[in-house]
Amino acid sequence: MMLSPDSFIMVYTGVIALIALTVYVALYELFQNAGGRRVSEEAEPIRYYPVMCGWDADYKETPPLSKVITDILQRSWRHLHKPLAEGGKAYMRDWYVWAYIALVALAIAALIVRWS
Amino acid sequence: MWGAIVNIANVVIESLIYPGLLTIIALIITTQWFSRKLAGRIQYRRGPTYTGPAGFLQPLADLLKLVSKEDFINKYGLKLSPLVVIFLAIGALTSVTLATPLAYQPLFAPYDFIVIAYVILLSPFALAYLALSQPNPYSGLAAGRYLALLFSAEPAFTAAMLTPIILAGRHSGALFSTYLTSTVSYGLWSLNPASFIAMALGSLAAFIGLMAILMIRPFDFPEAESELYWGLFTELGGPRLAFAFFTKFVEDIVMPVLYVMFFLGGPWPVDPGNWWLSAIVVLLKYFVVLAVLRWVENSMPRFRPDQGIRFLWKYLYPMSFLALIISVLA
Repeated sequence: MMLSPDSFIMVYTGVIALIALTVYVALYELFQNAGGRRVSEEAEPIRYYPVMCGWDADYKETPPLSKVITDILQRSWRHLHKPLAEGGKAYMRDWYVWAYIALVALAIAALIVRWS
Repeated sequence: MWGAIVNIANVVIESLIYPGLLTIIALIITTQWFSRKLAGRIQYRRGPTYTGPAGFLQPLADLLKLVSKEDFINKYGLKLSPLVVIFLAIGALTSVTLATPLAYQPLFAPYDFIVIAYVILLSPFALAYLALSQPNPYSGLAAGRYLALLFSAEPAFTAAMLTPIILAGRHSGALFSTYLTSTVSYGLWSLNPASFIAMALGSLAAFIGLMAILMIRPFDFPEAESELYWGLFTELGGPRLAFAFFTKFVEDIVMPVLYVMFFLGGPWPVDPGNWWLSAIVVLLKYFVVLAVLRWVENSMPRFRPDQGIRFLWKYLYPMSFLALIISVLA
């Protein structure tokens, strides 16, 4: 069935919502009502602690996500990262780099608003 | 008026029964049983044997067991928003089947690949969000690895998938549509020498990207079973674990089906107008791709995260963007 792009987006969004709702009702709400919610509440506080292998169970600190990602990317480019980072810092200290960036931004802006 | 009602009824039936939700559940059971049996063969064991004939119903038993358990979160966890996100991700991934030759009345529109590419991006981020919603050092580390992997694989994978879309759009009048591209993709290999090179590079790049996005070894460092406990799934249990697996298993179906549609000729050699024969051919090709993926998975050791990311930047990006550039020039 060929649709226009706008109708496609609308039908598709509706389909996504319909399937999501069906999964929620049929696989979550129904099974939770049938059995899942009948489990008695236990008083042990350790029950709600994060899964840890024998360490302090209430230890909640997680590594910052951005740090993990940048660390992996830096390690994967370890031969390039150091010279690039040091060279980049040296460039960024010079005023003409910023002037050049401003000039390029002006040129792009001029192209966008058709002043050229 | 009557025509509109029939169309709406068709879309609802396709969404919920075939090739939508119910079919996806049946396919998850079949593909997981197939994958586990194949892994068992490769590793000199028998795989699932207990539930159903030859253990066929074991994945269904696992799903029902997990969804019947108490929805449990740790004391620092988020309760509702991860569920909303993961249900939408399941809906988004399942809805992609409506734009494939599996559907008896496929939905398509000019430039619909933009919507499909956007929709399939939702599921990895939903998985990462579900993992991060239950604070734990292991799942936090795994989510970081997963996002670094996605950052390194998704753009290149999408660029590789754009190769047949652009070729078909420019030379075969496929309107940059996912379904229409699948009906003409077999001819894209032989348009001219440049299109052959673009398709060859694109199919190789897309296959590597597929392995990375599906976290297939050697790219399984976000899951990193036994190294990071269970990676993204460490803190999940009961229905949340079931829905995380559900999302991952639907990804295991939808992404290779898209690969079959774009690079392995889609429904070719049968007539795309014959929907049930097209569906059978696409499914057969899909099972071949799945078998290759599982064979690679069970034969390879795991990359370290920096090794995996470096591999993707070094080989996947140049290959996929070269394929994209050639497809534009061809």
